[in-house]
Amino acid sequence: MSKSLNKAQYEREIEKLEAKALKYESKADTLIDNASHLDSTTDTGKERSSMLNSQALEISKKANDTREKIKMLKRQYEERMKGLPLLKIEHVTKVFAPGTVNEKVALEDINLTVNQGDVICIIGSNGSGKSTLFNMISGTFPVTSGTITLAGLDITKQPEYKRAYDIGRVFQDPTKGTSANMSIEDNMMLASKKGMRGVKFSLNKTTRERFKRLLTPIHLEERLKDNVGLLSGGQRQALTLLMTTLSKPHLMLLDEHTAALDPGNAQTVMDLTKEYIERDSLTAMMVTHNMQFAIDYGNRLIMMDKGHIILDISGEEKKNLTVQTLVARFKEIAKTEFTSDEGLLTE
Amino acid sequence: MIEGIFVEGLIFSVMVLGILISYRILDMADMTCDGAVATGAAVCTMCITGGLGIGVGMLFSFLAGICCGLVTAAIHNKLHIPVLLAGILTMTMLYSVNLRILGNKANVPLVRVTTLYRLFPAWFSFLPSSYASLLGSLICVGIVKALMDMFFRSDLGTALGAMGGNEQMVVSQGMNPATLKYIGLGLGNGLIALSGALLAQYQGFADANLGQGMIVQGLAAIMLGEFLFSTNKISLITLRAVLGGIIYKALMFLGRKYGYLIGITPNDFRLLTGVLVIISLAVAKTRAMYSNNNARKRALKRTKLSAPPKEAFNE
Repeated sequence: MSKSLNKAQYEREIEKLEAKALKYESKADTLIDNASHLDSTTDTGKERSSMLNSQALEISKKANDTREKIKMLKRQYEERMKGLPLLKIEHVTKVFAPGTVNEKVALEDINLTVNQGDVICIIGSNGSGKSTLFNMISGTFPVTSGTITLAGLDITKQPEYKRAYDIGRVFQDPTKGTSANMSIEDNMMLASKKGMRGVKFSLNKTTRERFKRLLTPIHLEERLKDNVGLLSGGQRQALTLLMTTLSKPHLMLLDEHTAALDPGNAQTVMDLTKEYIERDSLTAMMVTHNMQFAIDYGNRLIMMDKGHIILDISGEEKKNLTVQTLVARFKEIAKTEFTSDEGLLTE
Repeated sequence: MIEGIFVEGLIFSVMVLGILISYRILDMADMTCDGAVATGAAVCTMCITGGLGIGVGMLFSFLAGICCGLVTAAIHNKLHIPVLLAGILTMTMLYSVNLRILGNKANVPLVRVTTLYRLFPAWFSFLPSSYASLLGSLICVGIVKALMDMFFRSDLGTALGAMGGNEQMVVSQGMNPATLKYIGLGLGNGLIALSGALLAQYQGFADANLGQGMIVQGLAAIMLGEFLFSTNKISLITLRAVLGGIIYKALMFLGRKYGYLIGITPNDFRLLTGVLVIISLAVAKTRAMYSNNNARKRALKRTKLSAPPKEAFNE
């Protein structure tokens, strides 16, 4: 089993194998049970019971093999993940409308390595390429050149829906992450597992209870059956966030996800974000316009300008950062004064 | 007389359910319908006259309908053209295909063969024949509706509904929207063709022009149904589509019977259907606003009663 699996595929494979092992084991148990009930005084009884026992032995051997396989798969996967950066972006360039008068270089030769457990805040004025970078990572548009590697797999040519197995993304627009004309429980059911569905019914009492428990922190537990369209923007974004973390993605992309909310709601959603990231120890990349927040939160700060990453600060250096020094460094590197865009980078 | 309207309405409502899938659940303006009804009728008729039997005929017309939907979905997915245009293309091509299926004849009668609507009076002999047809149709529609409700409560069905509301969400959950479109349009047109098969057996012939204008009639029925009550439960959504279909047929019957009093002839029906759709759209728009506000208020009230309101989530 040396084929490269992404996280969701890997988890599904493990699940399948475990179910298979369980089936074998229970089958072997019933065979042994049957054999013990046979009358061992008669010849036919002895013969039958020994036959059943040998059958059981064979099946339990199969179960053991399957367990072995699971172990091997887990070891292989862990080995592959060990020491590998989660996300590696190499020489990525994106040119919109190439060869026309409208040609625009949105990203130019971007190199970025994101390690497991990183929480990165990305700042930069409008048009600096933050959103384009996210679009490249999640696969909304293809890259013009360069490669993107996620957990050791080259995903440069994968379509967006396949990358979504491992990447959770929350948009600025609260309506993008949920389906308005469906109930909260249906939305959560869809988000609880990635990938294509069959004609199965996974919405039952136990899942409802689970959803209720999960919804309690955002005070929506009584509204499982309400349409999402009836929720306010803040509630909807909180729900989206909760849904995105349900499947425990490798990487969370938060694209100014509080920008469309009023200050109170923005604060609530941001608190939730921190809570979820901490709880599931997620790796996250977050675009924000709030410099002070970017300085206070996360272990890494990236500043983008005109399609380049101009600053990448992490560790001790980031802890000692202030807004003043950040602005000063920006001026030094970009060799320009903040223009009217400065207003967008609020303290 | 009245039972005739109900039988017609019930057969028609199978098609309305098909249109409901594409228009309301997937939110795709699929015009394949006009062709698929006739395809269903043609396939079923040729199977029955060819001696394959009713069951095989119905199954084949359902499969033929699925193929029609798949063609539309393929044109839409592969060439990235709007589904409206893809549907019109398929519908236009289907006209010729249907004539071929009918052996290059404009219509083929179902004479001297058993059809479902000749079997019903025999099965339910305790009823007068017209009521037996009604009972049979009711059972058919009941089965279709129950299966459809079950499907749309399943994980796959919910995913289809989500795609109608928000395609990005489906992509974010790792599903290929193109595949879902194949499934949705296939199923919808399968039902539409099934309705055509029933219709052909009821009226006793298949006609290449059977499907003309069906799409607008189906839409009118859906909208009439939506006036009845508002809901987000799939079983009630399908129920109101069925009721809408019956009401539409009843209105048309009244138009035929009493329309002469105000000078309306059957020639005016298409115009009236179109006007009905436009009026429905206009009324629905204002109504949706009103009911949305009401639902919001109700929900607020309920949450206030059961849980203390959270200040951060002031609406």
